[in-house]
Amino acid sequence: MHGMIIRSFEGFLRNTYGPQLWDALICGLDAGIDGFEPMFHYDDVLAARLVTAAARRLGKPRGALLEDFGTYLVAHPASERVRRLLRFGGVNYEDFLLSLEDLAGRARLAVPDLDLPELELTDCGAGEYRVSFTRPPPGAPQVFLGLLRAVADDYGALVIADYTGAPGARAGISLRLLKADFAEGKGFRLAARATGRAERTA
Amino acid sequence: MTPPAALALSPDALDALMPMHARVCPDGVIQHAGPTLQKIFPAGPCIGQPFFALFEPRRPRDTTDFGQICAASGGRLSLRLRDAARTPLIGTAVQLADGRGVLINLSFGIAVIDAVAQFNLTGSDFAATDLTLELLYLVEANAAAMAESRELNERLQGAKVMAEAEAQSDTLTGLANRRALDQVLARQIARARPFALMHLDLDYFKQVNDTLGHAAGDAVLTHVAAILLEETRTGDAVARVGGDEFVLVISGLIDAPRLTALASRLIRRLEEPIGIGAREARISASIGIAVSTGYARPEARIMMHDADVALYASKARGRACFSFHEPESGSGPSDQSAAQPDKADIAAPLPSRGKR
Repeated sequence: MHGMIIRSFEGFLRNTYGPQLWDALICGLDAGIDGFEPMFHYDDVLAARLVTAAARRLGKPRGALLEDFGTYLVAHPASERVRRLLRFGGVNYEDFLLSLEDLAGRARLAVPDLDLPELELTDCGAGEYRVSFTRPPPGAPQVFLGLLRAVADDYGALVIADYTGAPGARAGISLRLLKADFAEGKGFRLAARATGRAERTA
Repeated sequence: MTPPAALALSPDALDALMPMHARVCPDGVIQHAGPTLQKIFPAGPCIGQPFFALFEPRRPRDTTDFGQICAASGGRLSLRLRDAARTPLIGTAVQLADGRGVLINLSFGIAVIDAVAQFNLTGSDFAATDLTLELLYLVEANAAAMAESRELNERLQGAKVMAEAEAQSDTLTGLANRRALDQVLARQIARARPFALMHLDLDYFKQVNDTLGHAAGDAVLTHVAAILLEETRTGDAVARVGGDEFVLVISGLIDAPRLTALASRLIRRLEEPIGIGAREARISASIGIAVSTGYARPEARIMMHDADVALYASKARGRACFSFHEPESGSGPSDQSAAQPDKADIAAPLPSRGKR
């Protein structure tokens, strides 16, 4: 797994639950590191162990924890860069959804060895969409569910999003766009000189 | 197959295709401007103004005649806004049929990043085919990736500095170790900067260890380190090179009276009783000094040896004193420069790094 992703997850845990939880988790992993570096690659098994250990310690289902991680990527100030890069996807939420299929390509433009899951968006009409993943890494659809909901909030759109289908190869997300301009969205200026700090913990 | 007929496009259609276009009448006045082009004139409408009153031609430079522009360079032109920022623009002009003027499509080119900020442009200000958003995305993504990379480098640099400091310092006192000393000497010699080398060996330290124990011995060594740092300047180096042996590299100081003063002061301060719990430790020090200007080509190994010889001369004269090595006078330290501290403190004190 790319360090960019696992380090973001580390930032999520540190910023949401505090450094003590992180220290206990990383100590329990016994991987000989005290944190993850964004430009390195890590074993997928290690990443999976980290998620499982965090979920167990927090007493949360894995899926719920991963959804929270997806929300964090958009909504937390420490992740402002990710929010901005996502907002480049479109001028409104619908536009953003239509750009989702380009997401993996966009990510590769920024970091060539960063592989995001390939996905397909189907416009079912009447504001209904379906996101389907092709062989997603375990947990990725859950992260996307939290992320897509948070991006809707960011645009001020009212959306119902749910996880559909059995986990695994046919995993997907169904979306219903009820109102595109339900609330005042969070601002997005194309030219933001200060792009927020990366996932850093104090 | 017959060639396609000329197109007639409505202003709305042109606005959608080219949000930064302008239609200019044969008399040079702007008749219509796309919505994004209108946005870059916050002071007032651009429609009705002469095109070249708003835009300064850069290439082709000397003409404001659209007939010439279209003929000469295929209509390509390079302009600057006549505003404070002199925002550069590039464009293509084509002549309209029947002499009805020209249509000019404009773009910010590479200046787009500043222009987006300056004119507060948004995604909907650009045509769907325009790659500006992708360019902005890339700039930002690149900045984000660079920032991550820089942070990684900073962390690695911090770890490297710490590892180097650990590899070069004595764990008990935090002073430089012999390896760090070798590097300091090599640097001093390479820069041909004059310096004095003081080899300092504690006297009566063994008694402290024997009577008060090793913990007391360690406390004394830490205390000695603090004194040596206080009495030297930031640019000097203080190393612990053995159990109770220290080497000081005094940079830029070769003047015998001042070195004499320094050595005397060091001995005097080290002789002050050191409180160890309820007990007191009393030590002193013997010093041997070698000065780099005493050598045609100073060499670390030889200077260390000579300072060592001078140190043992001090020991031989009854300890608690210092001696200079003087190469010219043959081998061994000279007697006249060897002195008891109380007789030799004749020069002004060195500015020291610590509080006295």
